[in-house]
Amino acid sequence: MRTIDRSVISEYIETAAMAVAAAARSAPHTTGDLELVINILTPEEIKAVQQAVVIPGLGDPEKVLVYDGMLTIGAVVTRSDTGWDCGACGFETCGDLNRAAKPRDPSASRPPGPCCNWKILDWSISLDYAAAMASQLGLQTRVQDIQGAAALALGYAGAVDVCSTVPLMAEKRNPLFAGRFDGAPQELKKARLEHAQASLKRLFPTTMDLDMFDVLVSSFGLRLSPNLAGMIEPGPPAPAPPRSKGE
Amino acid sequence: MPIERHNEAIQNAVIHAGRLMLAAATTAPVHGGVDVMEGCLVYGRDEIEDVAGKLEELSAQKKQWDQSFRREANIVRESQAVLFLGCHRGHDPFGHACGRCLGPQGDPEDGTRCTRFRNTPKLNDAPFPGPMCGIRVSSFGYTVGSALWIAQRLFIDTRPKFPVGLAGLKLGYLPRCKFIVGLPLSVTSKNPFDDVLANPDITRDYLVERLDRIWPIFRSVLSTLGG
Repeated sequence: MRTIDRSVISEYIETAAMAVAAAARSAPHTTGDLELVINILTPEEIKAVQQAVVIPGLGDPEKVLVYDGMLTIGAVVTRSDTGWDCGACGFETCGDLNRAAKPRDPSASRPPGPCCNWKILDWSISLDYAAAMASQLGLQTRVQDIQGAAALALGYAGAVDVCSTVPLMAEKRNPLFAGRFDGAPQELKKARLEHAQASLKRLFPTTMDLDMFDVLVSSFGLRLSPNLAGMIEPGPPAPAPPRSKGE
Repeated sequence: MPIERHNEAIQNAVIHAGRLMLAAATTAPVHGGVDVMEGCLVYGRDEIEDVAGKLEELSAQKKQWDQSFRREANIVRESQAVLFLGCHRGHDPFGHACGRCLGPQGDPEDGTRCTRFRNTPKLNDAPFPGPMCGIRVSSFGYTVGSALWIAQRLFIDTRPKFPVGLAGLKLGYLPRCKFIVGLPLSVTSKNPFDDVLANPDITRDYLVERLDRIWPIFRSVLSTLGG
């Protein structure tokens, strides 16, 4: 008898990562010549990537969630050999794109670009195939861009321009969608809430959207959650109702 | 009619597969959960011929398109349906300032971080009016990938094609979309997307027509010899 726990599942995920990589490699593409680089990360590398994406002050780098498996899927997209001259990149011809495009420079923080959109499309099809294969193998997965950028900066993705990561997990509750598992203390949770509220305020500089939402919610006889209600600046005071003669 | 013969059944199967692919493309995960994709399934002999004819018409526009577009027209003629998937949000920047479209984006303005993308005029004369937002195109790639995945699971032969997408753009099947990929769907015993002949003039119809020409000669010669 063998009880299936996380360590046993990790063994399966090591094998499954190969199948995921194979699916990404064999995906059909529009251009036939995409340079795709797929790496399977070790647990130490996964931990380094996860620590790199922790926002300072909002997470404990020692308590990050280390996924059971993770692949980096990167591609060289700043060069077009198709010769289609389709114009989707913003340049008249592929030659113009190749002259203007600059590949990623590891020493500089400059982003790569411009890119051939068909190469980006092919790279995304490969990412989708990887995620679909992981899903068919009964694993929880996601395509992560921020972790991909971190892996690229740490040098785990190879000589590519763009990279995304595909984490692999098999847990009772999906850690990739349901929330955090790091057991953060109360102060950290408060700091995270404030950060989220500040981000939302940056997204909605005026309170109009939230006011409308408040009106909509209150019309059903409900009250807005205190977290959201605290973000709405109080409007001008309502005029006093006219007094009737009898009073 | 309770009986469905072979040809009719596979024609219906391709159409149902195209619908499932469109559904899979719609549920594909995309950046920010914002839908970027519209789809259109084209089937029927006349409609397929429209797409193939448009490909042949487009092949004359550019020198490098000539042979490849005519080869695509032959492939489309061997397909029972064409699924067009288009990205209608290509000109709407995601706001990440990732630089995939045109490189560094400069200082933010009016709340948008993709300043250079917004300030660059679109190439309206080009086949696909770029530049497009790289992240939107990436999201669109996930939807195309999901459609291809379903087709592969159903053993329907398909490939994502740039020329077919361009023909769909010119035919106006997806008026909102500026970036379109065409997926010809084929159910034949020989996958038309592999072993494509370099010369687009040699097709099955051409060979049958040549055979019709030599068949009477062959018959008369063989009968003269007493065969």
